[in-house]
Amino acid sequence: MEFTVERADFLKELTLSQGVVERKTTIPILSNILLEASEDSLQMTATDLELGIRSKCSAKVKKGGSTTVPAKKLFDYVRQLEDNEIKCKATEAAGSSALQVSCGRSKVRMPGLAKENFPVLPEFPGKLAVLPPAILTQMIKRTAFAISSEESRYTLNAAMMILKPETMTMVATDGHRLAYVETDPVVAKEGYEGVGGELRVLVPKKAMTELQRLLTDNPSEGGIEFGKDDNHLFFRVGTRLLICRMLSGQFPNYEAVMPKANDKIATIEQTSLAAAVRRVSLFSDERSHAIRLHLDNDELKIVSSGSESGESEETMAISYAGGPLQIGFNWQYLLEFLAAADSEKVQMEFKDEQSAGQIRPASEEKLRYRYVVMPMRI
Amino acid sequence: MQDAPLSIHGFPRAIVHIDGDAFFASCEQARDPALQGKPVITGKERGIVASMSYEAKRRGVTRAMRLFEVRKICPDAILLPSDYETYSLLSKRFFTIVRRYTPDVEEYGIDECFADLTGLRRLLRMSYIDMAEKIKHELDTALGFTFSVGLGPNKVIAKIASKWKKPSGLTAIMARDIHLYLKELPIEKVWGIGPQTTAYLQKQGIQTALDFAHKDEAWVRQHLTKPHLEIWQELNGNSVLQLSTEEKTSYASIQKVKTFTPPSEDKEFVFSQLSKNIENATIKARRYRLAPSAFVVYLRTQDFRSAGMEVRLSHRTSIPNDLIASSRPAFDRIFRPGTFYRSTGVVLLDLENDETPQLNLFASPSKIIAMRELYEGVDEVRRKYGKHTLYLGSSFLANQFAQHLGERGDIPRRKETLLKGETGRKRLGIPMFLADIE
Repeated sequence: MEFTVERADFLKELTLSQGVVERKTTIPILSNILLEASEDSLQMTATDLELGIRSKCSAKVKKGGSTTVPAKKLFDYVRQLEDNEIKCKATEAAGSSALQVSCGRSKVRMPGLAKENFPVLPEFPGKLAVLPPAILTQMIKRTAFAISSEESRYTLNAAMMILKPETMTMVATDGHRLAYVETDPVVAKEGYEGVGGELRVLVPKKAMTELQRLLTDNPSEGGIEFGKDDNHLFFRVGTRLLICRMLSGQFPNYEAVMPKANDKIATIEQTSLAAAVRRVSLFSDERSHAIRLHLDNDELKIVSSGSESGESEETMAISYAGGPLQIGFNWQYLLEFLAAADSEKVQMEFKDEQSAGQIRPASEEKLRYRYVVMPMRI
Repeated sequence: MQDAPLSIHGFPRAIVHIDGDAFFASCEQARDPALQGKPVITGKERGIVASMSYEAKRRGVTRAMRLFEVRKICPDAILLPSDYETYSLLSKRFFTIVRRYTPDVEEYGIDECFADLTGLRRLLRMSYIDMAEKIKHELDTALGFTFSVGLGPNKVIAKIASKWKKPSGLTAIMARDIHLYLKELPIEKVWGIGPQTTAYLQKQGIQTALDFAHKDEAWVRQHLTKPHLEIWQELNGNSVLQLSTEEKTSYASIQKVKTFTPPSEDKEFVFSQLSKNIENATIKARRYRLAPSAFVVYLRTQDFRSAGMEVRLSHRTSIPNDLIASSRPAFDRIFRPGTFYRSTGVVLLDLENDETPQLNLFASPSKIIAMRELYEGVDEVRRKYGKHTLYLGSSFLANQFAQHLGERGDIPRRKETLLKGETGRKRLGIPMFLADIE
């Protein structure tokens, strides 16, 4: 194998692979990236067996072929190179392969492992649906933070994605709060192509993070092609393909916990609420993160008291006529929503001090966003 | 170099370590003079030696030896069931006496403590060695058995000193004499150096504590952990380990283990033993307002093999019903039919304050709140009428009989004879001495 590649192109694709390759693994080849040169392009593949990413960049290929080299080392080296043109040449001698990389006056030889040992990733099986990138980005932003990082009875380390003919939905929960976002049917006119009937799949947390990275650096204008085989999910973003192993497991019955009769409704300006919560949070109990909201007559009072740090109180004018209510929350859960909500005003809907509260943007266009959060008992 | 002192000082600080000699067996002998001079062994209810008097030790009895082996090598041994009530009462007396000299006492287990005597020479008008001697004399006479006392410039050296001569020893090691002791002390005898570290150090050519003390600080930092560095510093005569004199108010984990006799293969009986341990562990957790987010259950077979499993809870809780329900699948996986089990245990993990609980979306909050209120009531009843007045049905089989049947079920003599007003569960907080008048 021998090829020449533009440094900027090469670096961009190598960067994307860094989130996927395993740093500490018992299977050495998983720390490697697979390089395959053919015709006029270089294909790169990285995987940790749960998640894989395959991408391409154009290259002048003198001789086709393939090899695998340590992904982190290659990335660190390419990042520091100064000239534009990078030449790579694979050498094979007595069963050991190596990659020679040269760029201007810099030159390196890296030992590699043969391609035969690299896991084979499945091919894209064809698209089932097309997802508009801007909408998908927003949906991930609004839900990914609520995915639990540990698995327990009620939670999975994944969000559920529900595709329907005209709408798509994403739900994530860690048992304490739940983020739900659904597209308005109007999105179907803006590039969303759904599936016939209904398709429910679990997207692992790591896949959500990597997908978001692919979306933020997405040069192509088109939609994201979604595909699925028996064991994998596929997201094709331009020339890049994200492959993740499908999770099995029972997603909790989220429909049952979406509040239906929360009639104490407060409308609050989002940025000033976030600022107030942030100030009060400094004086909350460091372990429980509890703060208290007092609502009464168009006024919201936010109170915290930590055993050592002191007490803090904020009052703000809001629109509220639901009668006096005191309710405790983990301030982190509130702030994470407020950071994701992106709305001038938010609406908080309560029933009583021990039932789930629902928060949502006061006005909505393309997305219907609901955040359900359980109170703390205070 | 071997003969050069590690320090030029005498007692820059004065720490004593005091260790009760064969504590449990000595308590028994002190309480019943008829046992003095005889091989006395405690731990009958567990079937293994918990503690043995020096008379028994001389006959070859060792800790954790099975009782049938004891009977073979020492047929006249007097086997007694453990009487923790008496031991802890005498232990309290022990600490109280030491506190007459200094408030800085660290209770390190039931039968040993560290005390800081630094700066008391002028006040008590005596040298540190005289102080140590006086404390020892007072303990020996007041409690009726002997203590081994070590005096040193820090905790590690004090601990070495108290072990130097046992039983009833008094060893004072001045900082400038440390090297004389360390050169005779194998490295594995140093407090805090375990078998793994010993093996590693021996590979580096370190055989004695002095070899270790002579190593470079840089070498110790590079090859060992912080606790080892602290030991190294103390071996060199510096005092870095503080005494923790405060009473415990919180725990990182809580463990409850109970052996039962005879061993059982009855699945439900073994589960009810586990259930009882979970109840007891959560009682303690609630007392400190803590709740775990995970716990480990384990079973031990008749031939001392253990099997355990960690269980994660869906929410932080100290309600035994939640833990017992979640433990059942784990129990079913580790329990092997046809195997006889001798004990069960539970360890509550990741304990945190539970006063403002985060409610869960998928578990009914009113039920959580109701259970908490219910257990406030249960704890109140238990405080008033005794720990086992109320217990769960799942613990029924374990509560139906005594923990140990047969000869292991012998109860301590303190519980046989009750004073007026005492019950099987509630007795006066004084050790009862049993000298019979003939």
